[in-house]
Amino acid sequence: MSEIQSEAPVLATPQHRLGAVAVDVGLIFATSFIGWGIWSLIVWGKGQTPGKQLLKVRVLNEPTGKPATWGQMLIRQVLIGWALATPYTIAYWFYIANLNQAALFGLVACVLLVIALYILDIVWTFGPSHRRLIDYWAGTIVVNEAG
Amino acid sequence: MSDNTNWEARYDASTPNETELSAVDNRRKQSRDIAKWFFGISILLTLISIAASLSSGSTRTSAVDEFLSTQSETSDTSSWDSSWVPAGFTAWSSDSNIAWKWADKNNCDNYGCISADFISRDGCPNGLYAALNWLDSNDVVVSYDNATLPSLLPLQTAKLRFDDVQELGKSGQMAEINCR
Repeated sequence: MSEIQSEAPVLATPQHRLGAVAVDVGLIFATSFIGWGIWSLIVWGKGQTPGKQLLKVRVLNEPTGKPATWGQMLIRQVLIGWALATPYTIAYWFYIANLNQAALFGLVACVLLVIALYILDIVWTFGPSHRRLIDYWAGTIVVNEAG
Repeated sequence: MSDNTNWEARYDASTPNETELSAVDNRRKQSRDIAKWFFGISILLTLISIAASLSSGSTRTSAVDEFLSTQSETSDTSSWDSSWVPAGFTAWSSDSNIAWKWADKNNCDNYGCISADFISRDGCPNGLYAALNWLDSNDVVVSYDNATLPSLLPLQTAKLRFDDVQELGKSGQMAEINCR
């Protein structure tokens, strides 16, 4: 019990979080996704991604305050992204199948909508709780362990 | 596990007050609203796009039909004698001396192919040339093939095969037939 600290966890700043994302992206390219993927599968159980682990950032389950579970990380890191990409994917394949202006309009509109959502997501990170939209959807917060 | 306990204890120490909880609840509600709006608009856009695309597809078909009917109207076929054309054959649009039909059977080798039968009323002593466009599923011409005969006797039937070496086509469109 001696290691329990009484101070509140420090929320990761947007800059810190962006840094972790940048490290993740760098690692994805550096390891051709494979190494990053395997590393992710290991550290997801601790509520981290490789980038977050290197920059000492951790994802916590909001209601309990415990590190996010592997399943929660899967939802947060993958399934939400897939769900967001579904309309775009449908529009893309519909355009490929039809190659006409209406299908192109649908594709461009869906792309713009996804871009708008990601911009909004980034803007939200600068809010008072430094939480992204996906943090609310997945019920997580991101804290800084660096001290 | 001690790591988890550590975080839990620190988290308990940071329990937010009612004002903060209210702000968090508002944000949570807003995030759900954003998700609903995003998927609502996305689905709407996709449906509009599909509907408009299918509609423009019909327009394109109509335009093609109109073009083809215009072509057939402008071609002077009134003086043509097509009485010689055997059953199942169609007189070629620009030469009433030649008729053709898709072959009943295609004997392909390594690639996709289409065969067609040709017949000429007066024959083609100097040869017959035929070219076929390969179309994809959107009726876009993606490749072609041609075939020739050194000669064709009057009312003699010849079968020519057109290969799709690049395997790009889904259907064939007879593009040209010439009696040389």
